[in-house]
Amino acid sequence: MGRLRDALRGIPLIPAGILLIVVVAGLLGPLAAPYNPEENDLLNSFLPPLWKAGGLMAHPLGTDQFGRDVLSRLIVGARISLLVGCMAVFFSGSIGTTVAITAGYLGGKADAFLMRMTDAMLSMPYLLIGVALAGIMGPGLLNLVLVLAVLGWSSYARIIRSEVLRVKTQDFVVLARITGCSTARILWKHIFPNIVNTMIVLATLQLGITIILAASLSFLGMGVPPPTPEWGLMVAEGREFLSSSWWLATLPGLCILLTCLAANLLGDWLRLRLDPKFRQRA
Amino acid sequence: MSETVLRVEDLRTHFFTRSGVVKAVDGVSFSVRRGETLGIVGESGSGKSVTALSILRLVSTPAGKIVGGRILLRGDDLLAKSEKEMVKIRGARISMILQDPMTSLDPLFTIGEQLAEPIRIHQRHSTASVGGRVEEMLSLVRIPSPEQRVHDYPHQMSGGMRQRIVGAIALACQPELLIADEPTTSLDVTIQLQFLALLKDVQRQMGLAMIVITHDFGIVARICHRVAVMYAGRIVEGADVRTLFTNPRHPYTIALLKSLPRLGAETERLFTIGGQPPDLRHLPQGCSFTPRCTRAMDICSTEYPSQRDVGEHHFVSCYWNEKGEG
Repeated sequence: MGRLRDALRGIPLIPAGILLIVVVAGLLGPLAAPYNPEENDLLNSFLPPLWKAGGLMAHPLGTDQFGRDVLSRLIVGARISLLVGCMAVFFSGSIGTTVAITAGYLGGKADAFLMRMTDAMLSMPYLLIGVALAGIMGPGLLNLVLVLAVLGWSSYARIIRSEVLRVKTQDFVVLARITGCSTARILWKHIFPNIVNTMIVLATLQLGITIILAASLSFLGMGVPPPTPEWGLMVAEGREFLSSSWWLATLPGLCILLTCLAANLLGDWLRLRLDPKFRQRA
Repeated sequence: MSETVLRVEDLRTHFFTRSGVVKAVDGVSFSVRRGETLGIVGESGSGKSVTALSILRLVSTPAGKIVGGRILLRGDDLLAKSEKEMVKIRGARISMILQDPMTSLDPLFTIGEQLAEPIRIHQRHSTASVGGRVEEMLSLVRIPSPEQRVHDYPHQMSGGMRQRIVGAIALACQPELLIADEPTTSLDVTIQLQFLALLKDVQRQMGLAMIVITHDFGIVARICHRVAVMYAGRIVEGADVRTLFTNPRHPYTIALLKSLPRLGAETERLFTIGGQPPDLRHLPQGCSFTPRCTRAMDICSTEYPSQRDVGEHHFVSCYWNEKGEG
């Protein structure tokens, strides 16, 4: 218990709390949702949230144009957004890191080739490519993850490669070779741990960006197909009712915002926490 | 006479770049015996560090390549070994310490863990005995309270202490040869002396053969037994320390010693060697020091002078000496 306390020292409570709620919602999914998020109930459509006139306890956040409970859709949507976000970040992070370590550590022609590819990817307008790719691959969760992975790896590659270069030229890496470390051992014991901080911070930043990107693609009809409750899709569907039932677009938008912000702030804390210079002995 | 630990014969290391071949080391020969310290002195770019890296076969490829010579570690030709074999030799039979203690240690691991690493790589020890060995090494380099220091991180230690840790890591597997590349350049002056004294003691205790690469003659005077002076990739003079200081024979050595400011001497202007170090891609024919040499003769620019003995354990590559002038 003491070790856990020690590990979580200084953690920003509000972002952590928000992320915890989102994660729990994601884990529980349909179990936590009071209603089936995809079931229509046209008699009860366009119910406002609790605090407005005409709101009901039964539907605390109101209902959409098909009478589906907004709260339930947000909860199940959390699962999808997190799932898509985490999987996409994991895949793009893995590809990007592999490219970065290969290019950064080996240098030479491998480096030149991989970096030109990365530059090419980075110079392309990502939303356009995303739409094109999604259009080719068709709708669906896995396809969305793949599209996001393909779009995202190049940002990793750039940044992590410069970290690898920074670490590689430090004397302790040279000394590791002098002491008789094999290349594999150096990569695993010295290079990787020294870049893992950056990877984690990058991952949390990318999570935010990825969730927004997934929402954008779904918004454009290129991601998760309706009637699946995905936050971006909900924003899209609620757009035409912005003047009357504003909560349909605003609430999912707020969820996207809060989740990304929480992820970023937590990432900041994590970076500081993992840096030995800031550790304090108990 | 103790046995020879390292013998380098006619070592040539060149770098193949787009603008030409850089002959960083071009025919270097020397040897180091057990319990002896050889100093390699020279300006930046003279090839000292590349020599050290060549011995360890860590010259950066693809540009750098050892193109000739032999490096014999107690008779074993290192240039004939595979990379796999070299990995076993590095850290165990030959070790090296570098100049900057601030970046020589991994910031993410405790010094205990970093000290244990060479032991784990090269030797089979139980976990308990590794800990004991680590504390032994810390005591050897005179770190106080080793049992507590073992859990410290590098940033919690001063530069002088870090450099001693680096020394301990290098010596953990009791190598036969230690190469120190400018080991005290980044340290405070008082710490420098401490560190050099430590090196000297350790050498005596372990019977270590040492090569100290430096541009500082003060260090040479303090801990070296023999000295080799390098210029433009070649050794121009080699002698016992005492002989070099009292009877230098190569114009470059003489000029270097002349440019050292001396206490009590009345000088208004410091002496400097005129000209610039040569471009290693376009070395002049003959002796590379000719353009800056005050005693150059015609033959100096046509043919490189071979090594001549001019005394006991004292050799020089210079024509001027041959004529016995000066």
